[in-house]
Amino acid sequence: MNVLRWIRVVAGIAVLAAFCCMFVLDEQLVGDLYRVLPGTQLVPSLLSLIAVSGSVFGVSFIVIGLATLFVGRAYCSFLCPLGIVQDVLLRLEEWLKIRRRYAYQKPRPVLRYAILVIAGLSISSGFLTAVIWLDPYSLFGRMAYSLLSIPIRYLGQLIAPMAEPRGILVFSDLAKGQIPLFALVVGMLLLLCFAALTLLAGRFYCTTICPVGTLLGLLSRHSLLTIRIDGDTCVNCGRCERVCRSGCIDAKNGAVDHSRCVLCFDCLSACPKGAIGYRPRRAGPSVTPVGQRRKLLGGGLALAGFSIAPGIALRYAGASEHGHSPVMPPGAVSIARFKTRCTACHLCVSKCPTDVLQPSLIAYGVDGMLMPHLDFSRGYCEFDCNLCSQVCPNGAIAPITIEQKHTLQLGTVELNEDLCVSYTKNQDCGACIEHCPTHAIYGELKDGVHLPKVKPEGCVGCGACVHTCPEQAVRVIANAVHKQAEVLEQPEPPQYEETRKGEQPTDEFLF
Amino acid sequence: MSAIAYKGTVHDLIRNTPAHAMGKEIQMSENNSIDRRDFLRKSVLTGVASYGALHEFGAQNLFAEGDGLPDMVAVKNGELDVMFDKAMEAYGGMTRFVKNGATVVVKPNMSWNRPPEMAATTNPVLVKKVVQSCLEAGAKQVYVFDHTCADWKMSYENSGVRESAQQAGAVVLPANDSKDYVAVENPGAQTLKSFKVHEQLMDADMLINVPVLKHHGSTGMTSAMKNLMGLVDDRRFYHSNGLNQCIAEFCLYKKPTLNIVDAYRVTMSNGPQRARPEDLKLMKYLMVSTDIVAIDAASAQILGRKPEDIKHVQIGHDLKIGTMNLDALKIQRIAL
Repeated sequence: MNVLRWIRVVAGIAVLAAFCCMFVLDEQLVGDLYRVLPGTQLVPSLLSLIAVSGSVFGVSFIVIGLATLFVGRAYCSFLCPLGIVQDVLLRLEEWLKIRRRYAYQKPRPVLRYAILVIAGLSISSGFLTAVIWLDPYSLFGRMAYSLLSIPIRYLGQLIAPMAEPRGILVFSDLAKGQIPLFALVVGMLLLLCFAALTLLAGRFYCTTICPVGTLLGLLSRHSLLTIRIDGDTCVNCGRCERVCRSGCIDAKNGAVDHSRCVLCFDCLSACPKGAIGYRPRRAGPSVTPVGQRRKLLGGGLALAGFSIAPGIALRYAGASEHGHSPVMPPGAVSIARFKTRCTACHLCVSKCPTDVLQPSLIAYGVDGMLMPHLDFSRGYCEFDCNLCSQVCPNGAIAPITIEQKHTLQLGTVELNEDLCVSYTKNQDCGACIEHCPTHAIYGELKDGVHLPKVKPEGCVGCGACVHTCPEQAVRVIANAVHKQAEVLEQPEPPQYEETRKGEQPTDEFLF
Repeated sequence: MSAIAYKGTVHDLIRNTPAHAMGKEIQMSENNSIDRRDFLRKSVLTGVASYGALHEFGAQNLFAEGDGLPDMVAVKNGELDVMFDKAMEAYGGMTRFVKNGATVVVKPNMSWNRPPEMAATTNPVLVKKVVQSCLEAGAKQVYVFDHTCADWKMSYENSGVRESAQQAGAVVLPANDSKDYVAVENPGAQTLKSFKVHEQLMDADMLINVPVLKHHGSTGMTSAMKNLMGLVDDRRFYHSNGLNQCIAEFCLYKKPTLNIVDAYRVTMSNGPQRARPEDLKLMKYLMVSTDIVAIDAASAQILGRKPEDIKHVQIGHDLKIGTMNLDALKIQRIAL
């Protein structure tokens, strides 16, 4: 086996494993992978370059671009988790003996560049629907979150009973709670699509659909190192073409389309003559004739315009339809801003310790499908937690401190006294009162019963009351733009007869 | 130096042997000069009352071994570990409760994601002492868990209780998953007739309740009885069907073998979890008692409330789970 290919396989497995761990395992087990891994991904890196000033992740966008100019699209086989997933699927199909031989595929420049232009417009216009459904990292994240949670839950249930008596609690509650059905369906459909696509056409997604691939292809077309066929040694046996998962080797003409080659290095070990190699560029033929480029770009732009117009119309239709907005995670700032940054990669959802962050179906409109929202039937937003704002690789959930979060108002509480047992049955319940971190819900003693009262101005919208209320008598009305909550003046604590801290204690007992 | 002061009847004083006073000087307060007739009357009454109480509340084993021991020991003005040692010494030692090879559930309050210094959770120092004490008394296994209100992993960690309990040798279990709970019947109850308790409680020989005393926004107070809500799966049932009634009725199903109340730093207002530093008061009390109603009645008075003001204490008293009439009990008070 060729050394380069061997390195690619090992690196791919390691990277994929790391990404999977990041999505489904506790930080106690795998460390803070989220601080590093998503930063290697092109779309999050680009978005964070735009969104977050002084973003570290943003640097990798430039680094990846430069690296691609030197070595070609190594990113697609070494760093992209979705690319590696497809490699795994291809290997599985090979083992199952259902995979066909590859053959050279004609480039589809109109389609490729149209998608790239759509994705570019999508990011620059802040209308991210196209990116949500095209970005390889986000597609991978969605699959990892929904599909891996199930085996991980069983694994946790298997290990936890053995670990708990030994004082190890990390395996208890290893997986998220129930994944919403639609998220599971989306994950499964995506996996099925990729299984079918790889079976039929290898890494067609990477060579033709993926906007990241196409963008890097523009650079790798001119990269220093490329896969090249030495015409003098080549015997035109075509073996390289038959193993090329990108369908980018035209063995008959001895040409390789470097814009589509993902550097799997399979061809290197397939060649019986050693005619094919990974070498520095010399002048050679390029598959796409330069003269066609302008036409292609024009066609791409036109197609992009056509496809984005209905999307924009849909967005505004959606905005008017949804009178009330979903409760957004702390740091999202506003619906308008959040929708221009979030690609629904589900990393925040998979990391949320209380499970309150869930993918939404159409709470953000059809264009913002699967974006995360706070679902108080599942959990509450812990007052002293800002993990989602730490993990978001795009800066869609802007980094905030715990102190900032303490007065960040995601929404305001509304109490329905007709449903509240303290009002209807005249009995103490007070679940909301005890869970409220800001005393925006407080008890007022009337006829011996602690009646809940609300001060919405002091509410942070964490939903602790909603989650705990036995009668669904409280709800949080979301703020479409996050606000500052008031720090509530609390009644002075009663003056105690006993000594204050620091004073000399008495020996008298109070009972 | 420490001294043991008695506020109870002369009868209590006489019954208390020097062995239980642990060599400490016994001080008689001036108001204890009661005439002989009064003394006799009180002796008889207290004797009858305590026999009746012990019989009725199913604490016969206490009667056999604990004759002469107080019904409650209250210590103040010390650090928690010191106060715990003093209290248990005066109460006959942990071996009185924990037998060799016993499986013990120690139930602290670690229900909130708050640091120990905010006293929304039982002080980890005390939990550590209790666990150690059980193991030294010969317990085979000590389990510590709480069905938390806040996220359990955060609460277990940030309250410091998980760490200190494990250091002491306890097995800390998660308790926020319904699958760890088993259905039980509670025939004596009106409201809480059937519910689910943590399976480990079913398997254990005894329960030691280690609450922290706090003001509570809906029940007025949380101490020993309220702390037992953390052994139950469905708290919403409590809240929607009569919180105080359910809290008291749980004790019809299971009464802790021993209650140890951490009233060192006490949330006097804005409880149970988001008190401000100015809501806290350094009280430096610790109480131990087998009578969960009595210890809650004492707790209420530390909060400046009357026992009957706290509804679940009143209900507990009416259901004869224990007595909130502290005058009828022999309480040993130790001021350090």
